[in-house]
Amino acid sequence: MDNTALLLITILLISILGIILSVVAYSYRQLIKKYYVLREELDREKQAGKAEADKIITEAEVRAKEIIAEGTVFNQKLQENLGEELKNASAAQAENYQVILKTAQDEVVKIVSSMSESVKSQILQEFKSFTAEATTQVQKELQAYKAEAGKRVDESIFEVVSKVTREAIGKSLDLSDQEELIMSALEKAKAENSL
Amino acid sequence: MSSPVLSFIKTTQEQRLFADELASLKNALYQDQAHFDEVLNGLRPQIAKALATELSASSDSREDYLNGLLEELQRIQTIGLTLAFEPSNATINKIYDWIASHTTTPTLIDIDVNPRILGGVIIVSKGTYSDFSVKKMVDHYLSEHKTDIIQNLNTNKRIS
Repeated sequence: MDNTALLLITILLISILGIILSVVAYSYRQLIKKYYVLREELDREKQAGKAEADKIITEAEVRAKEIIAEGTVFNQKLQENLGEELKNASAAQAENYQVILKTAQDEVVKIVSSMSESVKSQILQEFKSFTAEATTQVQKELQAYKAEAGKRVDESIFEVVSKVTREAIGKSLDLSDQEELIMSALEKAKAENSL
Repeated sequence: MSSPVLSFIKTTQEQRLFADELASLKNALYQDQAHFDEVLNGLRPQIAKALATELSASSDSREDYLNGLLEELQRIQTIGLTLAFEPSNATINKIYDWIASHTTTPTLIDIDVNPRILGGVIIVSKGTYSDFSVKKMVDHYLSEHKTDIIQNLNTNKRIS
């Protein structure tokens, strides 16, 4: 009973699956058709665009040649006009230009000279200040180093002196001195109630 | 009451030696009289004589007496002394006599030698440490006068 139901359900499911696959296959075919139609349209447009582009480029080339030709003519005209103008320049005008130029040069020299002195002075001032500062710093460090080195030397000498002093005192004590020191120490300890 | 024989024991070194001797005597008790006498007479004469006197005068058995003496020996308080030199017997006696005459209870001295202390003595007694060494005095002086000493050294250095 159960097996029959299961078989029927399986057949039903397979049938549904078959229908779905058929629909998908049909849709796929339609899609492929559309693709080819669109591709053909695109190719046609490309061909038309290319022709249009070629036409524009050709026109642009022609226009460019025309502009270049016009430009050459204008340039020739301009040169001719300039030459004419130069020829027309009077001697007085030339003199005026010379005076103005000289004045301007003097002014520039003056300004440059002034600026250079100022900069020079500033640099010198800064350099002097820096030198003084550096000298002071070096002197300070040198003093500190000398003091430290001196201190270390003093410490070393003091250690040597201490060692020699201890040895000298130790050797200078004979038996009676030693006994006297011990008895004296015992007296002190007794007085301090340490015995 | 301290046993008179203990007055011959002055240092911890002698204390350890006497403890070994008493142990030997105790072992001899379990043998014959001749062997005990032999061990007793083998001790230092003064100690042997004093022990013989006390053993004959004591009302306790020999074993009890020796056990009591050993306990008393171990209980004696000690004073630690660090000296800068190896002391002679004369020096030890001198120190011991001074201590014995200035303390109320029997005391042994435990001597240690350390030449680095230069002289004097370091005393350890009743849990206190008293440094009366020459080294301490010298170091104290040097420390107190360090600045002056360095100044003098520098002055002499410049003059020379």
